[in-house]
Amino acid sequence: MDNKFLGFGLGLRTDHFVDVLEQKPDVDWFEIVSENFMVDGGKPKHFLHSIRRDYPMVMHGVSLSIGSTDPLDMSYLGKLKALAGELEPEWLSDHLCWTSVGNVNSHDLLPLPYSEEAINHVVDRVQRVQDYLGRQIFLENVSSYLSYDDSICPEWEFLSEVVQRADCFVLLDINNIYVSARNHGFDPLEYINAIDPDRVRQFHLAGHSDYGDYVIDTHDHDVADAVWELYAQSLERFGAVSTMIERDDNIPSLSVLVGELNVARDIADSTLFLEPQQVAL
Amino acid sequence: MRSQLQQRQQQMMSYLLSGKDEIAEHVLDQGKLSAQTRLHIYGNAYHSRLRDTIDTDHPATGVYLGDSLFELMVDNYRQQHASSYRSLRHFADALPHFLAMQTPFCDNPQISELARFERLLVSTFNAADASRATIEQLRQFPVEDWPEINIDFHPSVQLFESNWNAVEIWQAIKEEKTPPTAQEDSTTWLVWRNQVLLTEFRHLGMAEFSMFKHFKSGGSFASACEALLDIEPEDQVSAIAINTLMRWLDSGLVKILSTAIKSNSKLGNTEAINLEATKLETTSPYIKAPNELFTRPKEKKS
Repeated sequence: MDNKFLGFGLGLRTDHFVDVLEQKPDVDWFEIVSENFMVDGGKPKHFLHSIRRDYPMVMHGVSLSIGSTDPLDMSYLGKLKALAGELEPEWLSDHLCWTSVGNVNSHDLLPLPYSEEAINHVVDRVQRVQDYLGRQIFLENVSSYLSYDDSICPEWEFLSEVVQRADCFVLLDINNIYVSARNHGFDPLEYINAIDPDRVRQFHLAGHSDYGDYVIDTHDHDVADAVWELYAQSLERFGAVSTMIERDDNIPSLSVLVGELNVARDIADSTLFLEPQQVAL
Repeated sequence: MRSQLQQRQQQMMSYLLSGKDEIAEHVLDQGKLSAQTRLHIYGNAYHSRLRDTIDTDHPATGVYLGDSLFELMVDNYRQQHASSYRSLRHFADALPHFLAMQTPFCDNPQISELARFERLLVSTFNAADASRATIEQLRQFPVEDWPEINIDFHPSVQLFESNWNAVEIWQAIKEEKTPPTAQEDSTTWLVWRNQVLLTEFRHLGMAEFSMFKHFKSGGSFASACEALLDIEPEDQVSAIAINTLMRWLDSGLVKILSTAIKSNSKLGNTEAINLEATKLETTSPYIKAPNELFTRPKEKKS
């Protein structure tokens, strides 16, 4: 799979549907939450397809549950593949985590123990998912608040091992690295420097809530200064990587978010010389 | 035998669902945060996510119940209904049934109906897209084909049959007015998503309800008219039927107009339902009335 630099994107949110169509904002691409559009029809899909005509898109899932010990949900994968067939996204991503077990869904991105068993389990499932979808997927590092006593390695080694053996790619969430580093007491740069640049295809940026002793990945604030700093350091290591800002709560106007995206552009410009590649609409 | 990974996941899920903390033995204390505090972060997130889902999908039910009853409903529903869905949009699917069965909510049946109406609005919002038949298409049917006209409704079209004034309560809350006192009120509502993708609903009278049921069960225009004869004066049946059909088309309720039996013996079918032609003026501003319409079929002698 070619390493395509899409430029700077935003998460497509319901609040901005009309503004995106009317204002045609200076956003290079949009990321959608796949599950939000796994519906038969109606207004969200109408806007989705209208906006797709104007912008490249990528699909980001939240319930693949790639680490679950339940069987792969082929019904879900069927819907994912069908939506990808409709949208022709640049790529598909989900999270290196588990969300469900025993056919019960937590609707949360729960961390895995970083064990050999978990690596083997996830690698096998990623390979089967990629075979079914007919394409490589991206896995995102999640923010986490606990560590299991089963873990035999740090998260960055776990992530590296999985993507190498499964031959998939990394969606590196810079904010999640910061949040987890604060919650677990590791150095975020140690994490970043351990990831193979050839595997990193997308960055996520987002805001969080800082409670002093711990940090929660809330996506309801502006990107924090410490995360911008980490973003610049990530660019130095990984080069030009498609970057987007996630905002899921306390959502400001589209123009405010584009302004925040321009901060990312400025940081990238000062770190690298960037020109987005032409991509097919 | 359960693998260690499966064991951890089941222990974690058990913690989220019921607070059983067997998982705590396998969670590390790190820095200033204990394992219990770390687990609480996940527990709180799980509870608030499900609560917010119900709050988002059922805003009127939430207002009607008030804060303390709403929280009671959320807590009890969450304990009884773990989500088996990939998407949170289905999490509250069983809420109307829960409210109909669970005290203290079941003592006030309008609450369950209010929640059922809100769920129906959600499913209408997400229903499949489809093309819509037009009045122009109806106009193109030869008059002699009208008795055989069948209708496929738009996938968003649904009926809401209530025994209480739940919709009036919903409307008052939506308009930020004091909701009316609950009272028994058997009413049927038609709910659909219109051409500009907005959800609409309106009260359905007996005649329209009768026609809707007929067409929905595969009946033809002729049989719908025949059924109307039990409800409306014979000399008004055709006009009512035509006007109802026009209104449905104008509102975007109809996906397909067809005469499926056309390839069969059209004449034979007409004879079978023993229609008599008559003349009637329609009040519709959209279409010129066909000259041949229908009166009550003559009773067949055995």
